Amino acid sequence: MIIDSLLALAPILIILLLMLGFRWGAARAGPVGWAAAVVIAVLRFGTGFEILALAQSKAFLLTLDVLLIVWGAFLLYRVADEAGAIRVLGEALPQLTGDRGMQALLIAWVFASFLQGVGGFGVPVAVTAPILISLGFNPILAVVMPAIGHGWTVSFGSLASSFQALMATSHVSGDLLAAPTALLLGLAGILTGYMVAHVADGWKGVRRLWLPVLLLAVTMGATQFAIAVAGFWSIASLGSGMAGLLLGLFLARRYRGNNHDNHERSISPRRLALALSGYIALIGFTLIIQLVPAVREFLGLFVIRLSFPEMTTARGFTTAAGYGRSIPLFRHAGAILAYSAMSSFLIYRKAGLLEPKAIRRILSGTISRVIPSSLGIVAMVSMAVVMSHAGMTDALARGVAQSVGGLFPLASPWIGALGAFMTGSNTNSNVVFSMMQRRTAEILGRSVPLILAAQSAGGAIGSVIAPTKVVVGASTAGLADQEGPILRKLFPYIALLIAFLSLLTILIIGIWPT
Amino acid sequence: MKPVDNHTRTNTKLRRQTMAFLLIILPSLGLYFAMASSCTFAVWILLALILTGMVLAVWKH
Repeated sequence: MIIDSLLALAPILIILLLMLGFRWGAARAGPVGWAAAVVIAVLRFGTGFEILALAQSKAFLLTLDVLLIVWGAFLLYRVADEAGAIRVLGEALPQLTGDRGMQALLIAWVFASFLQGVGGFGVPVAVTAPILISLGFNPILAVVMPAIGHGWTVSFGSLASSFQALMATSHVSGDLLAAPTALLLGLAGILTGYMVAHVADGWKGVRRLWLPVLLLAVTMGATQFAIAVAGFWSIASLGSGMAGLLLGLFLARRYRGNNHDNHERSISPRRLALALSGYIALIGFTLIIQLVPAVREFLGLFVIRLSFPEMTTARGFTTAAGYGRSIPLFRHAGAILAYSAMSSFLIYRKAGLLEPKAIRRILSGTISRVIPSSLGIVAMVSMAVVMSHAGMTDALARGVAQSVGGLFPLASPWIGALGAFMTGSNTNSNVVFSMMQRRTAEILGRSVPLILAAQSAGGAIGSVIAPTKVVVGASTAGLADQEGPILRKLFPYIALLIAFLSLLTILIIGIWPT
Repeated sequence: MKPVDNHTRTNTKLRRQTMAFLLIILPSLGLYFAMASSCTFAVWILLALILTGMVLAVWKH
């Protein structure tokens, strides 16, 4: 059992070693991790080539699901950048507040949380990192800050797809899960705010901005909690992001910093609205598609879906038959980003902001940026899917659970985080681990909803350091091959957040044992 | 021997990465249909192509 767990851990350790120790990019480290997973799956876990082949096909669907968003986000960014919109935003936000810490909070925490509510995988970092760079933040910090800032909204983000997965795979009602999940994430949200202030401006920033961080955190966390507990979990994160943006705009007036010098080059509201048009379109399309049933159903008519048979390894680990990831192509988050990119392109062209041959530059710029990240993503996802189908993920989780015994509640968020790190997604982590977490909680006589909430919250925070997500952020910030240093900077903050979730879980278990 | 400038090096790297990506992603889809039609030979060919793509990705850029 111990050998199984250690061998199952090996591909992850290899990737960590290559990325953190040797500073390799995900595009090079991923294939090595994949190769290690395949060798161990075949030699130790009894995985036949049929399972490997089918797992690779499933990985195709998962990769496509992720890459559509990555490509759409790049395209939207390139259109905005070509029209000079990113530069305008970079000039406008310091006018709202010249306080560097406040700028970071508004963009990397509040705006990123809002984008997680409407967008999902990778979008918050992909969209906000370039804006932060244009404001003069160090490119690595420009990726690190929104990565930390949006983590607490992941479970209820993307219209609660991760939370829906938790309910579906654990067979526990959302009414029971909503309160503990929103509570853990809301409390973690307070810490993420202070962490963003710390990354942006050190302890000086934390001391100066303790009050706005607290007000924003309480407002966003309480809004998410209230909406989730009321049963509207699919818009809990979206609602909290909106509440945060409204309060943030008000607070920015009180923490203006040294922006008095900028009045002479003020930007007209029309120019600002034009610059924001791509992102306004993104919000508009998302709301229409998610909240208007007729539009949602019409765009969901064409779905890419493949059916897979039951797969059993020579050691008896079974993956149930079923569909792989379904991709409703025309209402996918990537498609919504593409609609937004096309709309903003037309708006910018009408406004005369695009120069001749803009389309060519936009497309070539997008392709040169997305290829390295796409390569990293396909390799990482392939590794994760092979591990999952070989029973390696299961062996790893059981090893962790057994080694900590009665302290299992402490380990629950770490297991969720591990799953998200490996699969790049809170949703996938919940799919893989929620039943294992539920059974272990039942055996130990612990509160099942709380353990599952810890799983999802850990998955939300852990997804932030998933190499696939880091690759997305690094690419939009022009830091392809710099994923190692970004991970190195992110790790202490994320480890602290997951440890905080562990302590909260054990504390709440003391009050609410079953 | 002609000196290689940065632009050429970047383009070569991008071409290699594009090739590696396509060698992984397209056979991954093909595998599903090869398995569905029980064509073992095609499955092995496609797995070999994926392995080639992975090796090409790791090759020092």
